[in-house]
Amino acid sequence: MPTDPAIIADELTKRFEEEAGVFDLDLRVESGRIVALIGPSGSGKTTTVRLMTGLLAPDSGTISVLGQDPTRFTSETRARIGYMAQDSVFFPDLTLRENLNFAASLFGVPLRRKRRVNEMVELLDLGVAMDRLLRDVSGGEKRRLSLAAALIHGPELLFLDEPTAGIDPILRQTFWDHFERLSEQGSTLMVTTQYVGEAAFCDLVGVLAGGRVLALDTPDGLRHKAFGGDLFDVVLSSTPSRDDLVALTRAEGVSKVTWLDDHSLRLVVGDEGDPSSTIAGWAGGRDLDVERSEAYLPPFDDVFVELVAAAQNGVEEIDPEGEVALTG
Amino acid sequence: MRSLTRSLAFLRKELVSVWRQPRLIATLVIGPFLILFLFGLGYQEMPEAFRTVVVAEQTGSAIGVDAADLDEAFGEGIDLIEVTDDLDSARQSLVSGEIDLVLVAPEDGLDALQRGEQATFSILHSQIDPVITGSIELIARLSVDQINQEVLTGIVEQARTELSQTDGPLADALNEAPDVDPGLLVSPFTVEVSPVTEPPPSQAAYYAPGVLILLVQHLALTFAALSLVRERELGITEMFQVSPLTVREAMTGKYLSFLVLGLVLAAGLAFTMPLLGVEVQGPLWSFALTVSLVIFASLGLGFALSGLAKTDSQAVQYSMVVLLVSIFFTGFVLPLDQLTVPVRWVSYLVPGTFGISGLHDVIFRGQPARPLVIGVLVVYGLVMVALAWLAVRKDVKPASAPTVKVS
Repeated sequence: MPTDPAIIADELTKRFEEEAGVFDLDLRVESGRIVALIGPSGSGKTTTVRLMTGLLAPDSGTISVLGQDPTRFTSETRARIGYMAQDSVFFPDLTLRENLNFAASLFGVPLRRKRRVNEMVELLDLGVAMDRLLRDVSGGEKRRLSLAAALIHGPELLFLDEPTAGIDPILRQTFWDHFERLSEQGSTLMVTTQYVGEAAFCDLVGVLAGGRVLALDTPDGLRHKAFGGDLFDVVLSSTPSRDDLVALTRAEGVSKVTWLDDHSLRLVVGDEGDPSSTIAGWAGGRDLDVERSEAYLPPFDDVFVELVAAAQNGVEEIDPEGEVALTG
Repeated sequence: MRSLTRSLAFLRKELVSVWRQPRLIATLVIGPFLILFLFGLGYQEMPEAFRTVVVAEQTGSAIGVDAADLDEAFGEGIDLIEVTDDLDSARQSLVSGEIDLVLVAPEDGLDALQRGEQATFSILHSQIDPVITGSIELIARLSVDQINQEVLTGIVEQARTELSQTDGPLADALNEAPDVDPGLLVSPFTVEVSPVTEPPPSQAAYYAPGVLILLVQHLALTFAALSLVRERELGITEMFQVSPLTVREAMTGKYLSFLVLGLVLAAGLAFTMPLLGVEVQGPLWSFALTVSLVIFASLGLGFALSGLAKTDSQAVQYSMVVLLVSIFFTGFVLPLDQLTVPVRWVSYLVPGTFGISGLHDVIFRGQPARPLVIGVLVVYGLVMVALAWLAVRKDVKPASAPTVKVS
């Protein structure tokens, strides 16, 4: 059964100073999806989350979260939302357990909640720290408490502002595994992160810089946009000539060829045709032996750098339409 | 039920937070006990007698100063160290702080009388405190009155002896009442002051309700103001704003927690009061009601002030200003009647004014606090609830109005 989108933003703008804020954000997130906002500090990720949780009111544009204007959320709607702030903000004179119970109470979790609290403790590996005062625990433990507080009431829409900052890689993977499970169970997650590689875990990724969306697409779509197509690596047994390369660039679907070393090439290929067949045809016609040819998935750090560099070089927005519909 | 859960979360959080700060408890809870106890222990009803040197010459005049009788004439307020005729030495002792007063007696009262003048006692002192200076003037007048009375008594006694030996109606009248004390003839009237309260409070006891009210007011106000400002400074208000928490739930929890703390403190102070000789003459329910309403009103004032404070040091400063105002304008030190009417309105801005008045009724007059006092405290508390609502709303659910119509 189709459900209403969890989040719809249309030309959403919040301006703090001349160049700071969020400008003309368009976004549509279907329920049960994980959306990542990636970008450097000051790119507008947190402002976007704050607009969507009702902590800020937009200067212009429209926004609907769970069918409501966030600045006019009802208590019932707020109870369906979980929020993890960028900074770990709890009471330093309370233990982690007391802080978590306080958060649980705020979101209306009944007082018989020991089992639920223990689930969170286990998930976030907080067992030893739970009975220590907040002021005595590490930054990572505070982040985990913040995440536990956002999850404790089982919200259907989660806003997580840099949940994995300061978390070790193993626990970070545990977090993402849990986020995926939540998504499978029907929860919608909006996650901001500076770890660009985490975009791979998401259904939809928005790349922000300077308060503007540089690209908004699926992880594969972003790779495609960053490099102008998919990447394909070819390893030959001998060094091709310049004429060989010119011929390759003129082959169907190939838009760009770059050297990796004497025997290796990286191709940017479009959607047309099968790259393997194209390469095999090209090599066969020129007495070249292909040792290996395979699709190359560039790390998201490279994708991000390409997208930001393109934007800074004055290239037109990679996704000028600025809206991607991701349907279930 | 969820609403109650949220309010109880605040109640528990505030109580646990306070409990986890032993220094804060020591300062704000145990401190007042000690203050009240020390106040009662150390306060002297009568100030120490002024150490006095009398400078006088023995003239043997009919109206002169008999050094031997001076000690009796001065009473308890003056401790006669010595009688001397060396004014310079006495001055030196005064300047060096060895004595408090130098009383220079007139050489011969009769001479001055014959010239048609009053003989003058001069008193020298080195005090700068206006209250002590006032005490010196009062004691000096009383002492001189006493000396005058003794001189007159001597004159009357001598005159009666001489008159009784003559003939005439006046001599007959005197002979009919031979036993009338000459002192009575000189001072036929006296005065007796009787309070309707029994027993009348000592000075230490009189100040005890004021101390209790001001301490409770200060504690409630400070806790309330700091509570909101600290949450704001921590940034945890962001979680409040995103959560389903309502202003009413947050306020209920906070009011309840600090009301409990305030009442515990007030009960402790009330148990300390008998050490000062203070017995509650009136109904205990009225005592409890008055204190509870003062806490209620002070909490509201604290929450409202927190709306103006951006940091916890600002909140503490506001709280100290209210305490200062309370000391001078609530009737704690100076009677309200001594304030001019426009200034008296400042008194009415502080809940302690009504609290002290109410406790005076209950403790000393043996009656419930006047309905007007209770009524004003209730209204004051409710007005503060409205102002506190605005302050708490700013943290819990700020009125963020979008500038465009949103879907």
